[in-house]
Amino acid sequence: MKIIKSQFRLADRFTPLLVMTFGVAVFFFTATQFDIFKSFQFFFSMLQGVAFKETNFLAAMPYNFQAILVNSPYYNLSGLMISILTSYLYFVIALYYNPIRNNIVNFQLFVFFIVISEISLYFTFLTSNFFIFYSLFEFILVPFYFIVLLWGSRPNKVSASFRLVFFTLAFSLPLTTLMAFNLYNSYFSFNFEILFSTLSTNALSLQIFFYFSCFMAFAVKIPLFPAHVWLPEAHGEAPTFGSVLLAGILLKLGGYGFYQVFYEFANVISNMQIVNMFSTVYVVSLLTIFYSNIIVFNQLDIKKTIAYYSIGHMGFVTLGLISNNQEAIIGSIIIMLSHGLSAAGLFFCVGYIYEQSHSRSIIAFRALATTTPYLAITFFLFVCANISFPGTSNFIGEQMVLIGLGKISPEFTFLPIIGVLLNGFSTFLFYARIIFGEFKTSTTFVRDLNSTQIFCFFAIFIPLAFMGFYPEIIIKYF
Amino acid sequence: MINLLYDFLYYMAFGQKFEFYFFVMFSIFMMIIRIFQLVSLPIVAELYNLAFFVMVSSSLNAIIFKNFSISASSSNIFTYEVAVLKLITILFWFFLYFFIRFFYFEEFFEKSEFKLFSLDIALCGALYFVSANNLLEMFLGLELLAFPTYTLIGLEKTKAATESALKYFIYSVYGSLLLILSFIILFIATGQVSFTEFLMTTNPYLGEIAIILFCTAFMVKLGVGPFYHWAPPVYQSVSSTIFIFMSTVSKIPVLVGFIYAAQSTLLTSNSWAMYYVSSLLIIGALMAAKDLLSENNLRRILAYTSTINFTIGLLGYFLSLFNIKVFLIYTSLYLVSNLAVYIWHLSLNSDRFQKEEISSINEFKKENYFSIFILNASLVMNSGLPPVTIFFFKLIAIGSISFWSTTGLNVLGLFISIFILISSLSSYNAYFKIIKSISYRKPVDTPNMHEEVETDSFKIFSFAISTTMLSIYIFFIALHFN
Repeated sequence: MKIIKSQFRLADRFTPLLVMTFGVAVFFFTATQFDIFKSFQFFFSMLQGVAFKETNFLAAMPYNFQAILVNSPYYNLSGLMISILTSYLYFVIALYYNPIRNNIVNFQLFVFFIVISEISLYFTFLTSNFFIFYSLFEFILVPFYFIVLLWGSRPNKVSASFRLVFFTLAFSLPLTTLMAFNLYNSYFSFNFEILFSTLSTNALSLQIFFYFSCFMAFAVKIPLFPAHVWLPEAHGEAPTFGSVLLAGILLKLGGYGFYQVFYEFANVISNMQIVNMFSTVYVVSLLTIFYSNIIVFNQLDIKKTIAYYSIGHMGFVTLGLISNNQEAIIGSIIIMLSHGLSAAGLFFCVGYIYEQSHSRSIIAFRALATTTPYLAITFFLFVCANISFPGTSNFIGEQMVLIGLGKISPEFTFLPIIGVLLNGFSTFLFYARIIFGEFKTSTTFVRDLNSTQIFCFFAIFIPLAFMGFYPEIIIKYF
Repeated sequence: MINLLYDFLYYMAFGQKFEFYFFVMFSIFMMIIRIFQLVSLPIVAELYNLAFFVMVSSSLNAIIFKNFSISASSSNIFTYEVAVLKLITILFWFFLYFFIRFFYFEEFFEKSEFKLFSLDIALCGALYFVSANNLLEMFLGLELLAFPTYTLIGLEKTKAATESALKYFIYSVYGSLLLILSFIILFIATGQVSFTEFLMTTNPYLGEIAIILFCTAFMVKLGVGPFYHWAPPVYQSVSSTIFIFMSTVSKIPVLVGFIYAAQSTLLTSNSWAMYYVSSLLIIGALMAAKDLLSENNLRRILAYTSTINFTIGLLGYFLSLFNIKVFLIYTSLYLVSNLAVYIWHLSLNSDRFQKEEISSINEFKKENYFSIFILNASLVMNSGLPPVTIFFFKLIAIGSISFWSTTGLNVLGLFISIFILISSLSSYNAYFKIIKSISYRKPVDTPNMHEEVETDSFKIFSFAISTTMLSIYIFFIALHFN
């Protein structure tokens, strides 16, 4: 009987691993053979045939699609890097989760949603087609809705999953009209490069509409200040793997979209408009940084605290992307990658504490360092990454963003530096509240990490440190 | 012989005698059935019953009214399109008809003859409406469709059923009165009741009023615009099979009515009639979206969402200056995906339980992954989220709206499309409510809720395959237009 049980455990343990490796194989397949997107050619031409009342839908090709989808090999470096991050995080999750020990109900559904989300994320980051990017950008909500709803732990998860879906859907309404508009406009195409190169030939009102709709859709995902309301709820109520994926990858969808839009858009329109665009986004992202780092002082929920930190870091990403500098843009991509790892590690640590003790209150924990030394050490490493300590790649990313801002004008760097200081202060305060202080009996519910978990946490931290000491590994490709 | 074959094919494609030849074939089929009836198989007897009424309708159509032609000129403007539309309607009708009869035969045991009789009369009415050659025939077909539905609603003899039957009766009579009024105005203007006169009038005042009344009448019948209020209580009170019949099959002839209206010369991009019709549609969609936010009943939710979705399809059709492909594909795909949800609802909640409140649809067990998956997938498919097929045609409809009457981006069209997207957002909300209650809520502790409900996966699977085949067929038919 014991043998059968152990075999069962082995099988259960290796099914997600096999599935995730399958996902990695799919990723490499798409990375090496980009021609897979040619298969959409027929479908799009048929759609356009319907739109233009054409009988022979292959004859409708010259409008947009023939010139575009044939040129589908598209080597976007940032998308490739974020998809490598995706596969790495999914692999770590597959290592971390033992379905029996971690007590996952509905295990088949868990694997199903994980795989669906993984594959669609690869396609979003690797496609050259704006339409496919947009449709998967919206579709990715469905598996994450179920992840929050089915495997969350508190009754608040219902409203949290609702917010997760409907904020994105509501704010991407103009983008939907833009997509519909693109189908009918013979100037436009869905290819990113051709789209932005032909944008300057169109009317100014159309350019402004384009910019506005893209900004609204991606500002919710990143998220920027007024539209951030869904994020702390969703990250707080999600299960551990859900909040790891949300913070690690889903926020990068917005960042990647901003990269695609701003970087290409800034080359197209004139300087005066760039100044206007810059000032608005600069103010909004500064507001997000300050708001998230100040509100953390009043937070009592450990998961929500880390969610607010991730909001603050994504404000730096928009600052870098808007400044239209080589240094700043590379810096913001490095921030995206390193935040994907550091926030994932922090959520792993906090989720581990919650799974052990079933409490999220900061007041409940004191002096975790006495009972769980390994957890305290790994937590400290990720806290260092979170405050962008030198030696981690977060430091390099933030410095490059600040250098790029300073190239425009030195005054712009003053307020972001205050934001960095605030972030460090609040993070260390948070860490000291939980890990040090007087001993409480409630902390005895938390056991220390076992060898698998320590291995997983270090597997997340090692690339951070490696990129921190040797950043040329990313910078040399740009 | 070859001549006869050519004749047959010609009439199949272009002729008004299409039904006649179709039902001659069908009567031969009936003769074979009669032989089976001697062996006394009950289902075959049902087929016989159907074929009898079909014969009656075809003979009525072919013999009586062809001689009793009010205007000598028959309609020549829609030849091929109308033939294809007839094909589609007949396909849909027969598919659903047989589906209801075979798969849900048990529910017809109570008062079965009367139900079958009324359904057959409704079938006659629909076929008659589709094959109409002038306006009076069209009116007669619609009434033949409406009266049996009225009896079917009131058959339950509960208080809610009689009330909703009266509601439906009043609304449908209102619609047909508007229709008659439009015919009278047209008769005053031209002195004729034929289609060609109706659609080719250049009379700017009376003709426009007639077209507007015509469109409004069909809006009342379809339940779009600000005239949708009859639909939710009616859907709530009827039995499940009648619910399916009312929400899908009886909509199809009414959609054909809109296609007739679209041939008019007065409905151009900047005409007064077009502004009137489109503004009514948008107001109705926004009202339905507002009402939908507070709904918790499954059937009422489906009624409101059907209002919103038909509005999108119709607006896309009207403002794209009658791109019939988008309209046909969008509406037929929507109907088919709707059917999946309905049939699922039916197979889970039979009339014994009457589980229509969202909070009570939670009897799924943890082992029943297949059922959860299919129902959730069909709900997502029906809602029209991006990667779903309906979404692309919704997108084309919205794009045609934003390009209304210009070559560039139109501000008015942009506002209309954003209003429409807001109303579809509210329908997303409703669908996600249902999904949430299915997959998350814990079962309520009442004795009825824990009774086992068997779900026949074979039924669902066969239905899914056949619907997809049908939708693909319609898709390729629709591609051949223009």
